[in-house]
Amino acid sequence: MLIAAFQYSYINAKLRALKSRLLGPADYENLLGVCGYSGLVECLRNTSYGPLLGKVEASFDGLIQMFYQELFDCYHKVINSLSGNRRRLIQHLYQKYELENLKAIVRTICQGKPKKELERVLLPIEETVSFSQQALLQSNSLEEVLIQLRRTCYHSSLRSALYRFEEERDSFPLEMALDLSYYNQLWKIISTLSRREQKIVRSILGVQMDILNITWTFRFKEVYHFSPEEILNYGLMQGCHISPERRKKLAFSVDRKDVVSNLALTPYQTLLANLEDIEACSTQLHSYLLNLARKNWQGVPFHLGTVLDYVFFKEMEVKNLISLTEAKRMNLPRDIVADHLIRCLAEENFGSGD
Amino acid sequence: MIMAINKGLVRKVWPAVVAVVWVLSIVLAGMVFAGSAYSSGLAEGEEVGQVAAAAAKGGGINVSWAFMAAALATGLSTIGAAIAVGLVGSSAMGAMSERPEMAGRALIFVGLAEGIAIYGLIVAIMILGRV
Repeated sequence: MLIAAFQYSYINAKLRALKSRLLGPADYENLLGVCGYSGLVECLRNTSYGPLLGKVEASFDGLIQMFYQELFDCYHKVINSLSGNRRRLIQHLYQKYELENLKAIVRTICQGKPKKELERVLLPIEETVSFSQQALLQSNSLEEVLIQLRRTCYHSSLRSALYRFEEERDSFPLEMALDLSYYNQLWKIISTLSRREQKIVRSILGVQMDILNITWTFRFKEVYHFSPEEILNYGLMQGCHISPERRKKLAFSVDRKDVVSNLALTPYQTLLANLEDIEACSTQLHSYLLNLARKNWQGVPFHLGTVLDYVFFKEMEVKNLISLTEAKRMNLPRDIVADHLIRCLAEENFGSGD
Repeated sequence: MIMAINKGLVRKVWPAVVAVVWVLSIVLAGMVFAGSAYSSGLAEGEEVGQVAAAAAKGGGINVSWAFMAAALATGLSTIGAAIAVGLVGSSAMGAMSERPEMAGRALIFVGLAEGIAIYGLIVAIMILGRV
């Protein structure tokens, strides 16, 4: 306990200070109540995003980039406060956004679209960890991308999925191969932590992987109409409550009801029981994870779980802000927007949590 | 495998080893200083009458233990305070880097940690007062 206090006292205090700058329930209520996009920007000026708003142009793209920039700044603060394998883990979580950029570049090259379109899509990552984004942007073909990635963990996974791309002329297998490689690598990094930390980290990131497996199963079945074998191939091997046998059952389920019934004895079944929409399922599952993170945050503070909790809170805030910004730009009614915010379940069960 | 076991053992045992070395060195230092203080006290004659009187009654060993206790009280409490200030200070800096307005409140906690050393010093003065 004393050693843990030594290791986490600095970052714990820092994270609690950072957490106090996150948006609270009152901020969300104000943001939901404003009229239109300009009202949202004005309302944001009264939050912790106010000082940043002066620096960016208040265009929609500028605002989204600002949200991500703030998230990445928080990631850098967290990474710089840790050392060893813990630092490596958070760095890998940050690399998820690098991967998003890599997938966008691969997609653009595969579809033969002009690279100018990428400017809108790419996330504002200034310092990349595993590859040079600038060099990748100069690439004109998949072969050139592979050469640029030859020293990274993504090279072998992209190469192994290349034959599927050549058969289907679709970037989907390549993107899935990158995702699967990323999560395999993440699980390997978790196994380098101490046993106590592995248990805590798996209880958070494992649930995140379960959520991905469930929502991917829904999408693969209903949107892409994949065969059960293909769904099984594209699923994540790791997780918290979903065993390999259950994963197989999910893949071979007939429809969504069957998927939900195959989730019996997991916390996800009751959450998904009466939901129709895939997005609603995703929001509900993420709200459940937010509950877990809040419970964890209120317990003993000196462990890696607190760090993951904060990172998750920040990511969910950015997701919520993007949903709000898009909804306000389209002038959607308040109720519809509120249903898509990842916070409702948490507030009903735990109050504000601040 | 052997290397892995050794690394694990070293990781588990090192705080205990460091603590034992600290305590032993303080005890040793206390004994050395107690001995030299006792002998210098005797040399000064009547001015340190209490020391001389205690020695005359055959209480020399008790006096050395008193000096050692005072040294331990000061030394250990200072080490404890150093650890506490290290922890609280770094945490305070972490919080202040994000919210500078917390500087005043954070310094109070650093002061509380520093108080541990003063408690030790007070105990040492009380012990020395009875010698």
